[in-house]
Amino acid sequence: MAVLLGVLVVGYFVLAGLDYGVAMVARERSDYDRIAVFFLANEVWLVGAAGFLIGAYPVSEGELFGAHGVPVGVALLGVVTVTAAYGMRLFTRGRVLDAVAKIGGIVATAGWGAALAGMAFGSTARHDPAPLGSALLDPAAASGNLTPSVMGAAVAVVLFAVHGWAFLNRRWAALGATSAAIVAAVLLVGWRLQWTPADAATLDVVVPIAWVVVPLLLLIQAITWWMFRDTLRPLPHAASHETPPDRAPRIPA
Amino acid sequence: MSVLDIARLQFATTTIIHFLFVLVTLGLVTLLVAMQTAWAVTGRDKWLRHTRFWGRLYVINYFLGIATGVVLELQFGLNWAGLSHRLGNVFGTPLVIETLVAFMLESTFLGLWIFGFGRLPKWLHTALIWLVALTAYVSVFWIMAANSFLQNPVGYEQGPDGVIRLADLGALVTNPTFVMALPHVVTGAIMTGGFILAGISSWQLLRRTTDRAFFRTSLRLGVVVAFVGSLFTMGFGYAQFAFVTSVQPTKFGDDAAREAAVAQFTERFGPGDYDPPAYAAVSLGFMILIGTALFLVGLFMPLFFKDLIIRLRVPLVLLLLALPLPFVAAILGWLTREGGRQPFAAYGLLPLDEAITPGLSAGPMMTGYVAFTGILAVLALTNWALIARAAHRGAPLAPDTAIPSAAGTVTHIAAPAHRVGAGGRVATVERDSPASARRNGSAHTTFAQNGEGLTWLSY
Repeated sequence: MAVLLGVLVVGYFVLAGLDYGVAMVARERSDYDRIAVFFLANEVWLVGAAGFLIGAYPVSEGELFGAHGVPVGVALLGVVTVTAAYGMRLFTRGRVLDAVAKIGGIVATAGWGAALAGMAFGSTARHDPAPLGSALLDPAAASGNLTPSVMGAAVAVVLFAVHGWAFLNRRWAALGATSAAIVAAVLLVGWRLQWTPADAATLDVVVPIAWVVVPLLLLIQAITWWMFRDTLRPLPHAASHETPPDRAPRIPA
Repeated sequence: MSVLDIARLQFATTTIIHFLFVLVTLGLVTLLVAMQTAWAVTGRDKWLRHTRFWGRLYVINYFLGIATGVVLELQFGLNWAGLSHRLGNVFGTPLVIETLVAFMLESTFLGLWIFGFGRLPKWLHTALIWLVALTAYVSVFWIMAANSFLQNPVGYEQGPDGVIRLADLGALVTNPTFVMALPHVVTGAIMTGGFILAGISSWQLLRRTTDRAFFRTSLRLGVVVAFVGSLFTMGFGYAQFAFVTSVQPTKFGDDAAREAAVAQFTERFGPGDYDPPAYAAVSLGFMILIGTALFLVGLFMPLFFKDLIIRLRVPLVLLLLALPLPFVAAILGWLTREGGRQPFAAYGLLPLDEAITPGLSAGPMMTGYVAFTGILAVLALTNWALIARAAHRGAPLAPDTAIPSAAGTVTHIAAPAHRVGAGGRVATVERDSPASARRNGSAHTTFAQNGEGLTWLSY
């Protein structure tokens, strides 16, 4: 069960990290396009992870998000922004949308970095299974040591930026390294937290379903990447039509 | 405003905006299945054009709406930790089934469908839209099951600590507040899909589109679907009364039942106001009024004869004006359903003040509410603007299923002018309307094949 949660959360941060990282370091319009095909498939892992959290760890879900509502809220604003921008880019072109995607990517990354660091190193980490909301009412938490959050946000922004850069430039070894770093960070946070699973009767329903669906989903997403594998090849003149109008190549009438 | 008021307002606002997207998604995907299957079976280009034109509107709506669902889902943890804590064992079960079995698969299939146009074999691509629709329906099924549990908690047993455990999953899907509400919502969305087709086609026919045959087809299809959808929406809507009254006496019950329930609630939860707010009843009245008016769309069907529905023009104006009404009716319906179970998060089981996350403070809550509502409102308005623009532009003339060649050059008739560079000589090519696209039908546009395969969307 912890494995399933791990796969879903890691899946989200590694894959959506590409969306946000690419947005952060993109310089040409075509840079954004190179992740656009996979964008939707990457973002769904967030919904899956949150859903599994609600179903399999409802108490932990309430405590975690309740105690870290501010950074999670910020991350969510970023996710909403970057998702809308990527979506709109499919229909209408403009540098404004690229900029919005960039801002959204940065905000989402910083928000998640702060939230994860707060969960791992803040005062709620490894807390006793105390009454609900105690973390928020705890004066120590309220006065708050913000250092972990700020550090977390900064580290996440740098890490995702390198992650996106490695993807754009086809540096597969670097991409492996950033992915490993993301996996390690997520597992560290998971290990530092106290998890309260749902009741056995609930898990008997939820966990078998997840064991069927999550591998199936991995398979379908792998097929998606395989099907669009030609987009992963280096592109000699990737930006030919996506450059801004003033630099657009002339096309014979 | 109290923290509880803000949290409720935030959930209500997010849900309302979210549901505006849901109606379009669910309504259009049902019609897309029909259109694309018609294309796959008959091989007629007409149905491919319909699939692409309405599919474009569908995808706009999906992409801009997806974020609203994420916000909704995470709000349970952010603002309603008491609900997760006390009822999570049961309430979370349908939610997790929905996200894993339905939503994640739906979005993955949809990504394949969008970018697979022209790249995948026809039958496989058609199968994908079936899968998108199927998972969308599974999604509605489990979300409605979760909502119905909050309306009428069933299938659980309660421990001494107040925490409940799942006792019977089957009870969640035979819940009296579920069995008629599910088809009511589904057929309401299909009805909305019909009105979207009819309304947009009416706009095109009113402005005397050159693509008359195309929009004549979708007008007729839309009117028929709107009528049939309306019939079933009303049927399942009225059928709900008996079911709901039997388990929610303070919503629609008679005075005796209501008073008995209030006395019981007072005994269990202490004195308080257990009558639902007035807006629940008011909303119901106006919803029924609108629903009845929409049902009259059936009167336009005889006007198919000799295309009177188009030639008289008045029906087109009426259909265009009717376009917002299914959305208004749906919101009023939800205000009745949700308002009618107040002041409970889960009717008769968990009062609102025990459901909220303890220790929240009003300042940050209000900031969060304003920020999220602002961005969601921008999403909704942008969605309608983009849909209106795409609808106004009409359908590309020739279906473009060409698989881009290895050289990265395809023939594509319908690229907007700005994609080929406003400063270039090709900027003289105007492609703002189907008519001008037709005039310039021989113009070729090159695009670097980044694997985007997006051209069918960015018309």
